[in-house]
Amino acid sequence: MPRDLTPSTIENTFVLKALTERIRLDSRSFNQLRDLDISFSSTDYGVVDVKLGRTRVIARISAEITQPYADRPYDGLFIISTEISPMAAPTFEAGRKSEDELVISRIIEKSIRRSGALDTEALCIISGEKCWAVRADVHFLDHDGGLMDAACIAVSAGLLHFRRPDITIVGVGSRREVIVHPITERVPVPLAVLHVPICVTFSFFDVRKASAAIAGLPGKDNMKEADDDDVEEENDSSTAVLVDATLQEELLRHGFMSVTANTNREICQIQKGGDMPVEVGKLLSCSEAAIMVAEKVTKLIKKRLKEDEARRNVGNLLVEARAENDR
Amino acid sequence: MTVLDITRPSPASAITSFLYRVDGSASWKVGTAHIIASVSGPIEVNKRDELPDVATLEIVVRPDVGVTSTREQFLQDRIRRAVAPVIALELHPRTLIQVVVQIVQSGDTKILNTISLSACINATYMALLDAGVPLRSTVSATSIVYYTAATSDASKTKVLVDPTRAQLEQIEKDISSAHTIAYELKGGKIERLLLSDSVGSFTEDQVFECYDTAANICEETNRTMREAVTKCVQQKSRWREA
Repeated sequence: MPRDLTPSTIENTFVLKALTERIRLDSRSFNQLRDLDISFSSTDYGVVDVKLGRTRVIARISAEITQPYADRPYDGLFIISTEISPMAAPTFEAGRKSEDELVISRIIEKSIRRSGALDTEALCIISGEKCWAVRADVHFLDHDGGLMDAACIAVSAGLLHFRRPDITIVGVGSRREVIVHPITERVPVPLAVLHVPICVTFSFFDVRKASAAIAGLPGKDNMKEADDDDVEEENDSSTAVLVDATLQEELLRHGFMSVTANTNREICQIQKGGDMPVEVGKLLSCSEAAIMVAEKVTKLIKKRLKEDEARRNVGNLLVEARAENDR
Repeated sequence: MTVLDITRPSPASAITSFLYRVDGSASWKVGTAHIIASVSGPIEVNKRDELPDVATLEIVVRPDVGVTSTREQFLQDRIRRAVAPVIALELHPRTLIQVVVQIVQSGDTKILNTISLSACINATYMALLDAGVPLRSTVSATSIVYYTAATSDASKTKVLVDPTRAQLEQIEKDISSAHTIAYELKGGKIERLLLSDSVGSFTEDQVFECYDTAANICEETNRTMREAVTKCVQQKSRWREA
């Protein structure tokens, strides 16, 4: 497999110099997300296509009936599969996990599965015998940085969009049977999603080190005049904190931190990487920024879900024919 | 030979050049099937896969749900058989041409692979074209399903071309055979048969009839591909105008 191109020294100095002047190469402000586009499949439930700038991810949620684990008879199964194929970038090898890929899949696992976004107890059908196994397959189509952010949005949106077929249990005792009603027969049932985790990755650049390297650059003076809509700039200006880095910025950054948050202002997961120390104050301001991004993204997901439902719900049949109780 | 009912539900649609990190990409939609293929190449090849006189062709098929199984291996093998003969592999010895085929929506029922196979071949070919890999001629594939329809008087053999999943599910029990046929085309006319893959029971007459039907459909598919490529080239050369 070909190695990824390492950015040249000129590229490196150019990006860092621009950052000392508070400019990103794509003219975004430091805490601005790239254009986010979420679309759902017109036929199937739980298929989401997420475009974050040039990064593109498709997630597909599916469910089937299996036997629960012997030690957890009341819990259903929830698996997230995040295998990166060479389609995302030729540097990824098919069938072999690279280190980056491992980090990505662990962050997604922590963000969604271990934060309890999906209520697995609600997936139980007959305790110890039958339960739903929900599976999220994430397909990475294009890699321009922020794979985990895009994947997290895709899986979260997919879980909200997915509908499983309705079931009834007939008989008693050991002769209980489960009848699965096809979605053409009965209105399918949504999953019990408890919260919507959104992962936001912050990239840190040691600007002081950079401006020292670039001789004769008035790094600090410029920063003082910088626009004040950025949350994380106040006290110390030696670190530049970027939200949603592109691939180039990802390759050049000195450190990163992924924060997963939801609209309840809860932090689900924090992962810090790279060899750059970051002060506590930064950590707090990043968490605050993550919550703001999460709110914005969740709003967009909800909006797209509403549009999709309006398109499917012809003649209000989906509402009138459903067997669910309002909660 | 009996006169047959041939129904084709929806024409295919294609988009190319929408992924940035690979050299060529294509999306192919027909019926309910949706396939995305990408091509990188010629790129550096692993030492153990290196061939001294030709380029190595790697085809990876990724399923829509779950992990790679024998089904994907089967698809990989058939795509290779259909596409490899038209690629001028000898022009880039000791390199790798890497094809990744992502099934977004298979459009098949559990027992068939026919629909996804023909869509995979078409998507792969379009991606190769988009990547600028040297090709000898064009390829297009189609899938044909035979089933016996229980009409009021007597059961009659009917044909579906590139059916949707809903159609397949409706006739699932009555399917007698399913065929995937890939042709090589030159100048929009069929040249030779590249792949003929069939399951089920069928007569000799049916196979030949199948080849004739497929020839027409493949020529039509070829026109769809040409339109998609023209559109893509127009998009890319907008800067020349004005």
